[in-house]
Amino acid sequence: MINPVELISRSRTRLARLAAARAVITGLPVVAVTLGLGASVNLAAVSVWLNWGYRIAPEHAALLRAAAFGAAGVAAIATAGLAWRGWRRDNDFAHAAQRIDALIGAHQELLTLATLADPARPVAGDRRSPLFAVLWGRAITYLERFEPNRAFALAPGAPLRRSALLAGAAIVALGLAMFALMRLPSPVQAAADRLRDLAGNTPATTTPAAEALAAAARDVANDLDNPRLPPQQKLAEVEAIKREIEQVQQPPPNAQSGSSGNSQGQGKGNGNGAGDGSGGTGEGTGGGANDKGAGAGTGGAGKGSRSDQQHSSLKNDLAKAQAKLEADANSGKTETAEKQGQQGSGSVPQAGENPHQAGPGARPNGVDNVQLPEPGRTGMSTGAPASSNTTAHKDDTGTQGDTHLGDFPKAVAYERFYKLGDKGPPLDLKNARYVTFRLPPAVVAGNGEGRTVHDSGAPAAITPYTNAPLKEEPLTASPDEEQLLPPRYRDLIR
Amino acid sequence: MGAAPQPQQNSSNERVAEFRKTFARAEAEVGRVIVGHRDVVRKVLTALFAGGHVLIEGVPGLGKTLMVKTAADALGLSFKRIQFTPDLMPSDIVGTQVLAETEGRREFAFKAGPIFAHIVLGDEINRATPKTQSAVLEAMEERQVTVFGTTYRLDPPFFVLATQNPIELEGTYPLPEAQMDRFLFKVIMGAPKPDELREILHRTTGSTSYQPQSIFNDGTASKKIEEQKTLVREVMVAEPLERYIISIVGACTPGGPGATPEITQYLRFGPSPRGAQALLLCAKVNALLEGRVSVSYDDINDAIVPGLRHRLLRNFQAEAENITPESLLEQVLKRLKRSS
Repeated sequence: MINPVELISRSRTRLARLAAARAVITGLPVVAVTLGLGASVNLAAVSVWLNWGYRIAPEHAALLRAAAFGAAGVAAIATAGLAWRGWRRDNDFAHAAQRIDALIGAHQELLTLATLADPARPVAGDRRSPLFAVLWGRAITYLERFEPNRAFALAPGAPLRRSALLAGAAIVALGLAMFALMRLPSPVQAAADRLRDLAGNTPATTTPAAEALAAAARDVANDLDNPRLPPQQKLAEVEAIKREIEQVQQPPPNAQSGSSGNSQGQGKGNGNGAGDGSGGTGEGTGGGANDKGAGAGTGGAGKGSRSDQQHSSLKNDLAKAQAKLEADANSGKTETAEKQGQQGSGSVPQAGENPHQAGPGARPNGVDNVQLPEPGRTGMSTGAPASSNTTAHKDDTGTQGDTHLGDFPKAVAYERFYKLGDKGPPLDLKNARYVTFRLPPAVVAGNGEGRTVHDSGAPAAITPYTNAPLKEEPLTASPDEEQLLPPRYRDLIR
Repeated sequence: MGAAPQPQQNSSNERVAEFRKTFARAEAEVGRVIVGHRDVVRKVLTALFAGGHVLIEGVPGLGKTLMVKTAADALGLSFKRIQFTPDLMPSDIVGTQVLAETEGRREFAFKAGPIFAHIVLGDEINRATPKTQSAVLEAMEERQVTVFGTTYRLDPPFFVLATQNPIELEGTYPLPEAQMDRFLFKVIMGAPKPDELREILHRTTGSTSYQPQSIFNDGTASKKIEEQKTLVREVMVAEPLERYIISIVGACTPGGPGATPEITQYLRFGPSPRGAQALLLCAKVNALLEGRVSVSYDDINDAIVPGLRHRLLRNFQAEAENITPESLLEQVLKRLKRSS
């Protein structure tokens, strides 16, 4: 014999579980996705750095990670809360009866039965009428073939769709946050990051020299990020680490010689350079190596393109940082010189003077002057290139900059400004490494070459105007009419 | 919770079946005389078994009086008709004391008015003065009349059907709101359709006429109808459905909970608690007619328009913009269906 109350109770339990399960199905993927996002912030930051050259500051990455973990925590709490609320809401006798009513089309008869026969509310029985027996019989008829577990099945589609939406929103939000926090790093920052990468990529079981290099790289990176250190010190550290890297990453000799051959080589190089204040030439010679023997070696070759790429990136970034630091150091010197000049002890170009005119105590390439590329100079050498095994640049007429792009470009076609009165296409200063500005001198009329004439063709105002207030016309009408009716219409309307 | 006793269930089932049979037979008998207007007939009978009164509105000649008289004949109940006119006095309705001579002595005796009947038709009730109209109030609500200090009970089932003509307003006295509220339903009687009109012509202009047969031949009509009314009151209703009725009444009250902006804008007053009673009683009858002993949402929705349309008091703006109570109720119903 079917007991409607028992069936409704079972349905109530089933519905409560389903409600909680739906909430969990909705919330758990969101929690998992946000946790995964938080855990992969660093990975994403590294990927962005390696692939696109944009940097997310470590503190920003930590903030994003904390935000993602916080969102995961909030999502977990919300999921638990929703599951609890769903359980509470659906764990209701009358609600379960209503759901069954809707399912089998019982026209609220089971709902009425539930409100009158709720085991948790025995007082409801007092409201039963003599027709309750009929209601009971009809409920049995309705529930003859009703099975709660079959009737109320878990349909995960809708909660999963909701979950996908929420997870997608979390992904988009974090992606936008990362996008907003991406910065193109300065050359110094980039170099510091590359050095950290180098230090981080050094395996634990490596040679002592590599370990020392990693430690040194880490220290230099930290120093580069330290804003209190002067650029001169940073520059020195960059140069030192560059040398260390080159020393450590020199291929071992046996990698170039085969086991069946001997290799002997001598290297010799000399470099001479001379420069003066107006121009400079650089010259260097290098002696090649004499090799004897032949062999096929395999060690040292095939390190992989990724390592090579990283190495070249490191070199490039170090070179950029070096250039930046040099510029910073020089600007610092200029500032010092300016201060000294103001005190009368320095030598600095004064305002209004020819910037190419040396100061009283100026020396080309002196320590007090900023040496800028100047028109007409084909190259400058600050000294003899210390070339031991480096390849000398015999025909180098530019500066001695060593960047990943090669040497600094020659300062050609420097006169890009038009002369007074010249017209032509607009200037295009893109890709200029240095731009030297020179204000044209004032045009002085003399010897009848120029005279002041009156420009009679310029347009002139012919209509007299004044901003003086117009004379107010006294109105005889009442204030109300003044408010409502323009004076010129007043007589017409009257 | 065990099963209910079987004999009780059988007897209750029989009572429900008897109700349905009685209602269906009365409906069929009236339908054999009145062509069309099935919904009006159903509402009139519903109000009768729910213990309420009905206000029928329609133009003259639609068969309002015939329908009421036919219903009375079909149920085997007494029927009186009162034609309301401006000079109709309350004593013309409830009765008065007359000087009568009995055994050589003259004494006042009560002469009962036409209100003393099971079914009373108040024709064109809005033509009487408010004084006369109010004389019907006590009878409708208390089911008793008081004449010269003496109260007289009206025999159950006392059922008032009033008609009013909506097109002739000259010389009429619109029913007071209090009196309107005493009607369970207000039913609009529309014009017959062409097919129905042809059938009316055949029935009324031919040589044969049909007289309705009383469904209670043994003179127990009054008692049996009272039993059916008791059965109606025994129909059960769940608490959520009671709350639904309350929400309907609240939504129809200006400024009430769940009231639509239109309700607040166009109404002066909403339904009184009598409106909620009307909804529930009508829903109970509807449930019994479907063979159920508990009320459903559909039963309630079916009663909203006839049970509440005359309880919504429109303001001047609504009348000027021709906003009908039916349209406002439709909006409320749609809103409630959406929210549920």
